[in-house]
Amino acid sequence: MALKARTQEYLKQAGKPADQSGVAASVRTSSDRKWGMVIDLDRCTGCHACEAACSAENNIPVVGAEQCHKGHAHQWIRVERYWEGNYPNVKARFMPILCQQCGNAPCEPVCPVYATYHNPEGLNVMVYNRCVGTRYCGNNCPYEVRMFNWTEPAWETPLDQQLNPDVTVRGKGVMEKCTFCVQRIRRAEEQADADGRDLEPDEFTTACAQACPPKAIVFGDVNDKRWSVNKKREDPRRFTLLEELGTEPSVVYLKALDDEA
Amino acid sequence: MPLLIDRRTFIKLSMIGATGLVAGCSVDERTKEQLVGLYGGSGNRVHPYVNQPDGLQDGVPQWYATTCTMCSAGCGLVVRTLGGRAVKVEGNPNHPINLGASCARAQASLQTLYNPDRLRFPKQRSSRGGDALYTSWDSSMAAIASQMSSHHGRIAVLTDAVAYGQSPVFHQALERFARLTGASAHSFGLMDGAPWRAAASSVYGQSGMPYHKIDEADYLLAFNANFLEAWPSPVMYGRLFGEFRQGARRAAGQHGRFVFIGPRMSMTAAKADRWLPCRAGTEGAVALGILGLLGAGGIPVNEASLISEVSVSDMTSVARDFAAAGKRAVALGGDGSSALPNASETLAAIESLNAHVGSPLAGVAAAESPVRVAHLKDIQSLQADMAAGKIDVLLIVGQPNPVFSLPQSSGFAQALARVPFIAALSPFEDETTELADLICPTRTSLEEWMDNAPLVSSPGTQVSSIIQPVIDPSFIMDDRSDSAKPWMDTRPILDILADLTPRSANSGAPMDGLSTLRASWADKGEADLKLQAQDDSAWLDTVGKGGFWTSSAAKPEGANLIPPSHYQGQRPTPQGSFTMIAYPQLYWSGGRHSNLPWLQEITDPMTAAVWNSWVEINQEVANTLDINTGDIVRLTSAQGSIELPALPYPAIHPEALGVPIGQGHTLYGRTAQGRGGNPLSIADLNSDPVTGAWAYGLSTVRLEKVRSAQSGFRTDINTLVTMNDIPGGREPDAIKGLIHETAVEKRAALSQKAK
Repeated sequence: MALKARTQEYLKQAGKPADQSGVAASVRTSSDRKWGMVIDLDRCTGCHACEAACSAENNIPVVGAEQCHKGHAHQWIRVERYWEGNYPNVKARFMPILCQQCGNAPCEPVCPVYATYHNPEGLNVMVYNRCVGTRYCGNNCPYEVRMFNWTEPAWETPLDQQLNPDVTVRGKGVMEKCTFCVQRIRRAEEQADADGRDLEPDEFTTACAQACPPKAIVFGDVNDKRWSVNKKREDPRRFTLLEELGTEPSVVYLKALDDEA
Repeated sequence: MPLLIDRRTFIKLSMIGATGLVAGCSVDERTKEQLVGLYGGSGNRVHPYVNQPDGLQDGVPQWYATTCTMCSAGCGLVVRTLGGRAVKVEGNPNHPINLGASCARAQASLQTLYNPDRLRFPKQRSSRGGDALYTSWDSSMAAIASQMSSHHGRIAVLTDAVAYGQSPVFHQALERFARLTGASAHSFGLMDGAPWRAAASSVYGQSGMPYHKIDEADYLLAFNANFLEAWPSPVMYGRLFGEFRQGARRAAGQHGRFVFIGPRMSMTAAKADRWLPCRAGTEGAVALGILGLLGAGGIPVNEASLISEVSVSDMTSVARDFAAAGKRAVALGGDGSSALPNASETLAAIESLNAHVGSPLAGVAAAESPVRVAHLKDIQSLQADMAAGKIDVLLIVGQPNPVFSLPQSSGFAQALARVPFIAALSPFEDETTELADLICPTRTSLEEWMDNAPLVSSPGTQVSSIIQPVIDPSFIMDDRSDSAKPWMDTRPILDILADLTPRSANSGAPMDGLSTLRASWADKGEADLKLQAQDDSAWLDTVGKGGFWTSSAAKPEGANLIPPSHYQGQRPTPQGSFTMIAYPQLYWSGGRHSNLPWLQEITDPMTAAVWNSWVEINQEVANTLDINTGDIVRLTSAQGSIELPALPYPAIHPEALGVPIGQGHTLYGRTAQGRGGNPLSIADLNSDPVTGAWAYGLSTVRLEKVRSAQSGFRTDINTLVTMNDIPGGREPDAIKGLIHETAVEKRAALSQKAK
């Protein structure tokens, strides 16, 4: 395997010891990792910076008012707002919702062509060019975070200049969803690999977490205790969305604290 | 990189395996990606450019530090560019304002840069109202220069207070230009810091924008201050708000309490523990009532309650809690309380609350804005000059767009018509440039050199940010033409000003933006800045970092507590009419950013509406008037009327109607125009008596239903599109009680922790 062999080569050059499998004992491979996220609803201000950042990072098409009216808008992450109570004792609550990257994902077993599958890092990955557009996965997702391309996405000159070359542009008839910014994961891994080291804790993050002004979103490797996401996951305010379905989400929410309820 | 290989060899080598290749040379990220050929080959073989953009390597990102000008906050950015294209904006992690965070608007600055509706080449109109035809830069500049030289002393410049209002170098260049050409300079923007600066100088004895360290507060009292949304510094306050909730004070066992007083529940108000609705425009009365309860001047609480409809018991408990929090209490004004007919009075009462408890968390920011006159006052003096025929040449710089922002009845467009020659220097065509004879395309802040001072920064922190071009726009090619030619031909505003500024015979060529900027910094009194600009390597470091900032211990301001004790603000609305609250929507910023597709399609935080504007009507009132979601209603004021879809809203005072500012463009490109309505077009032209700032926030209107909502989507019937709304707009039981911890749970958790 070229990746491991290369790592060994670098380590040799750097004079570091390697174990018998050919990989330095301290270097973890991607399958040792499990990506997770914590969203602190007490910090979240509902500003939607995450949504804009996600659109920019992941080449998410703008579909226009008419498609939005049909419910065909693309939001890999959305901030839901819930009303509670009546005037004047009324409350509004915000909750960012994105693909929960379920450990036991309802979307995966229904795909007839294995376009969506579970990768070793615990991500639900979409293979866009396998997708035949049955939309079974979208039907089966209790979080409604899968978006279908009902129209051919278009970027008029020069808006196409902004497209991120690290991310595939999906065509009409293809299902898409949040990837936990897998392109960022891969870039960071390749960089670490090239440097012959393990990923540093909190070395990189997803586009939504990077933009978030109140730092409500924290992303990281839940199998590596050095990442700050792990401390947050132990917060007593934790809950997972629709836990009773047994989907084992990788996204953990922390409750907002409310003085007045 | 000594290794030059053709495509065939490259593929062969790739098949042998990557190890063989990398063993022979030192491998770093760049060379590895070049060899692996992330985008099909090594840069210099496949790239079509003869002259490549600076530092270009295919597949290797270049990051440029710059500063955001999408609002006045001045957040530091780093822009990721690939192949000479800007692909992503991130916050600059070292910049003291935003520390790496960014908002939706900053993200969308890329769509300002790559907007398909940009003005691409200079255009000239042979007659007002006629079509503008493409012309050349040379003839445009010659036309402006000849008009200016023949009308010395009868020239006015109207600049954009958002894009350039925070730039010291721009104002220095403008001042020089105005002095040498005998021009008068004016600037216009919607949101105005003048009342806040006036309040700060009356309470703290120091003119400047107040800064509030909300992260260290235990009690936060906001008076219609939507500090997490539009103004004055949403990312900075968003960052501090996260710390307020779950930062150091939380670690110390405190969970800050946040009370919001205002007529409508905004996104910021939704984050409050308690929202206390008041009558629109009476925030000042509540602040004065609380001052009265604290025995610090103000007005009697009964009177305040009568004016504002906030109960005496609510005001009493707020006053008690505020006083109890003492030095950890902060009272905040903001965009809502700055757009009132008694804005200075209101903000002074609010800052007096801070002064009364001696809160060290409130103070005056170090930075002083280059623009000091209230925008409305400034533009009204320009309008008077134009109407009196005193102006022969008007230069419009950037996108002040007063024709969109001011009500039609203000007569601004008519006054413009009296100016014989109008030239606009702007990246976009809008309602104001439509009335110009000549329109020349300028650059956006991602393509030119400039500097920036943030509107608000913490006391003791001096921030001078640099704006640099992150891409070269001449590499944006027109792919629809047969011969490859640039898609647009734009010029930086500093270069244009330098070209138009008269020069003495022996001075050389006019300076470009970069040298103007460096000369301006080298000219400064501050030794540090001077050093940065004079030394080449220090300058490169500064540009790479995004600017220059220093931090020193702030001197505590001696608060000068003479609390106001008169109330001259809003009184109860006459029977049968409503108060329209026009508020700056957090994405569109007064209408400037409604031409950006992302910002149209991201849902509004409170209403989940997209691609339109709406009227928020109290749910009960809507029921009484038989108005349902999506019905078209008409708002009529003394200035005119607009028709908009109605949105019954559970959290707005019954006498108030909330309308977001930003939509209703008649001419601003395909993304913006023909959507929703512009509340400013029917807004009253009241102003704050102290500063002359526009009280655009409050207008008296009548409400009537025009027709019921129709099914299906049609642009001609103004269909309201909302997304993600749960049927009935209610929280489903599955989630209820899950997303927030109740007071009981919280106390249990805290006592658990205490044990």
